[in-house]
Formats: sequence, C-alpha cells, structure tokens
Amino acid sequence: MWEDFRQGDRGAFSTMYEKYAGVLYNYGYKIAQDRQLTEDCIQDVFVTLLEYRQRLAPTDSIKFYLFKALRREILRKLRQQNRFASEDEIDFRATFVYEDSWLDGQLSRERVGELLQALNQLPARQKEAIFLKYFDGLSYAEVAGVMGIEPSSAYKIIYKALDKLQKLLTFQLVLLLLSGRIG
Amino acid sequence: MGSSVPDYSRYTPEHFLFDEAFRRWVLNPDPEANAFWTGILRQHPHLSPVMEEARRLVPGLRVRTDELAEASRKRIWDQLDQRFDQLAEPLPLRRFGWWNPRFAAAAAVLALLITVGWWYLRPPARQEVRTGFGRTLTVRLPDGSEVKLNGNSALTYEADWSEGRPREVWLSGEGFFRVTKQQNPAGKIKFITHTPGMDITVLGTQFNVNTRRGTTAVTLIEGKIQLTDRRSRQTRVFELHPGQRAMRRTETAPLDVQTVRTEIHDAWTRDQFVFENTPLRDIADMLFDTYGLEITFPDDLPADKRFTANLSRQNVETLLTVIAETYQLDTERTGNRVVFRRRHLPD
Repeated sequence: MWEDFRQGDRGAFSTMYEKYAGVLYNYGYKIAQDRQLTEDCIQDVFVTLLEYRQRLAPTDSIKFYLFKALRREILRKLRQQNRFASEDEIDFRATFVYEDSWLDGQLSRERVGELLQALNQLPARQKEAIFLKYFDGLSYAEVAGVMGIEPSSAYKIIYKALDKLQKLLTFQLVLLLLSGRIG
Repeated sequence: MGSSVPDYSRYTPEHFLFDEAFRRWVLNPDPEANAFWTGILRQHPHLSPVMEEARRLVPGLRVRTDELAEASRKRIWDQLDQRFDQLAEPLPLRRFGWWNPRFAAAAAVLALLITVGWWYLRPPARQEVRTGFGRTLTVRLPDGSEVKLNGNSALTYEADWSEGRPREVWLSGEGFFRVTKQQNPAGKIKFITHTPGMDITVLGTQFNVNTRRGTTAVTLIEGKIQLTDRRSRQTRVFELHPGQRAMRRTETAPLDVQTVRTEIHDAWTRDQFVFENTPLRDIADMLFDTYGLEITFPDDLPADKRFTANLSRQNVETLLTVIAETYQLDTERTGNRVVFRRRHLPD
C-alpha cells in the first residue's frame, strides 16, 4: 500500500485514508478537544503526505508517520490560536472505561471503579503514552517519536504511571478502610 | 525492555495490566505464551490471584473512543481526492525496477561490475516503450511476440533476448499480449510478465493485463496461464483457463477468479467501448487512467449507476456524448476536465 501510494496510486491513497482517518481522529481529538480543528489537521496531514510522498523512505511506518505528523500539526494550530504555550500544557483527555459485559462474579464493580478512577487521574503525558502504547499498539520507540521525547523517556513515563497508579490505589484502599471503620 | 524478562515476583495486577507480553497472552493466547506464563506461575505461586485478576481486567479495559463523524470522513476525503488530482501528476509512469526484488540484487551486482570495470561487462540495454494518454501502440518483441499498449502505459524489456533464458517483460498500465511459442532443446521457453502484484507466466497465448490503481486484472483469451503471487513469501500458482479473469484489488486481497465475457476486457484493442452494467465510477476511472480525463458527474447521479453500451470504432468524444444523452446531461469541457451537469429543460 505504502509503495503503491508513493508511486502515485489513488487506490492506495484511498485505502490508507480509510484505514487511518478514524484512529487518527480518535487520537487527535483527545489532544485538541476541538472537532473542527482535529478534522482540519487530519486533512492537512494527508495533503502533506501527498506533497512529499516521493521523499518518504519506503520503510517508514505509515501509522507512526501519520500520528507524529498529526500531533505536530494540532500543536502548531493550537499555538497559532494562543491556546497553548508549552509542552506542559498539552492536555490529553482520555477517559478509561470498562466494558460491563466483561464483569463477572470474580471481579467486583468496586475494584474496577477504583482502578478506573486512578487511571483517569493520571497526568496527561502518562495517559497519552499508555494510550499510544497499549491501545494503539505503537512501540516504545514510536511512542517516543510521536511525543517528541527520547525512547528511554517513553519507557520511564509508563513506569512512572504504574507507580502513580499503585499509590493512588493504595490511597483509595486506605480511604475505604477508614470509611469502613468510621461507618 | 523487551529482551530481558522482568522481575514478575513483585508485580501487582496493574503491572500485568500494562505488560505487553501479558496482554498479548490474554488477548491472543498461543501455546508458547501459555507455556511461558504457566512457567512464571510455577516459579512464583503467590502470583496466581494477581495474574488471575489482571487476566480479567485486560479485555474489558478501554479508552473511550472519539468517533470521526461519517459526514466529516466523507467531506475530508472529497477534498483530498481533489488535491490528489492537482498534486499527483497524472499517473506518473512507474520507473521500472523498483518493485522487483530481483532488480535490487541486479543493482548490487551492477555496482560491483562498475568497480571491476564496466567497459568489460556492460549490462544488457533495456528498452522502455511508453504511450501517452489516449494513444495505443503495438510493440514487437525480439521473439516475435506482440504487446499492444493502451493509453498511459509502459512496457520494459531487455534488448537482447539470448536463447534459453526465460523471456521477461515489465508492464505498468494496460497491455494486450500475443505471445509466440518458443522452444529450444531444453524445452519450451517461458514468457514472464511482471506486474506490481503478480507474475504472469505463459508459454504461448493471448491475454489482457490491467494494472491500474493497485489492482491487477488478467483476462485470458486463449491458451493457459500461470499466475504467481510475489508479495506473499510462498509462490502460489494459479492456473487460468480461457474466458476467465483473475483480479486482485489490493495487495492483501485474495485473488478473485471469475468467468467473464472477454470481449468487454479487450474491447480497447479493437477501438471499441463495451460496457455491461459497468458502474459510472469505473468508467470515470478508466477515462482518467487511459485518457487523462477528469470526469465529474452531477451530485444527484449516483456513481454506482450502471451503464451498458457497445460502441464500435468510436473515439472517446462519442462515448462522452452517449453518456450525456443517456442521462440527459450537458457536457462542459475545459482542457482535460469534463463536467457533466443536469440538463435544464426550457420551462
């Protein structure tokens, strides 16, 4: 598909769009939180891809390239509109949910609720790294490339997220025990 | 990270929840992973409830999806499609060679030969024949075989066809092949047509090959033909019989073999347009690929509307007129853009 596209094949371009438009939106919207802006950026990213297609290496991962370009484009547009100034302000509105149909007797609703609450309290960067790594299937190196950080940092961010998660869960457990004692 | 085994003994359910190997095992178990994780459990029996809990958490955990609206998906595509026409030069002809791994090897050998002294061992010259939009051309190959090229197509072949070696050509676009039978003491000599999607091997026969838009379609008129799938590692050989058409829409799609009216698919070789329940979209694609014409139909005329016609000895102008008359449309032509509009009847 990639190679056909590089050679100017319209069918390959269309297949690529169909395959990635949805996942790109699902990622980009979480950063931009603006429908119109995310859609404009998706369009721009594909146009840039068209313009530069002959200069792209044949081995580049399409998905990685698109994610990286989309993030950069969204941040550029947000900056233009003075809606964000530095890396620290990048938001990532990911809401972790648990599909009820997977709940069974062994797993209590409370346990899942606590986990979700803790996950949803994680800082934006940690959520973004987890999202890219575990829900979009990028490698550590790709997560780092998309987020503009060193691969070792991507690894650290996810490990920090796990630490934070432990702390949040322990804290919740303590609260739960305390409330139990009091009640 | 991936290579060394982490210290699982201190893992909590959350650690397992975000452990790549563990997730893969839960979501797509295989015997190897089963053995690995059973081994971990045997080593660390205290992990049993921990892993059990993580195993239940993994499949249900999701991040809420932000969905691209269908209307937006379509709107963006329509604009990209237009930009494609402006940015992609009308179907740049493929430079031969990039898609054949054998050429990569040949290039490496060539580089070596150059350092040795290219004047001793000059590689055989290759001939390349191209056609412009709306032009056809018949190429006579050194072995007497003939290839008729449709508009905007290219055929590459070696100038020197030494005896005993398979005859090989490379096609992009569309071509109709009339291959002669050749024999030497070792047996019959193969004729191989390379396309981006597959290799077509024959001994002597007539067939049409269309390689537009990532699709490869081979229609056999007579004789017997072998199709070899080059993208998948293993060479899968399909045999095609007269009147059959093999088509692959994308590189990953399976090969689809159908019995067809071959005269529809080789009509162009007789300067005919033959359509039988052909979607207007396909006709627009063909007009773009072969004639370089960009066709726009009115919004209220569905692109999957089917068109049937048989026009002999006609040019493309007549086809446009027939389409316009069939659907009561007006035609406006600027350069290579043809816009069909609803005909406004006088009040």
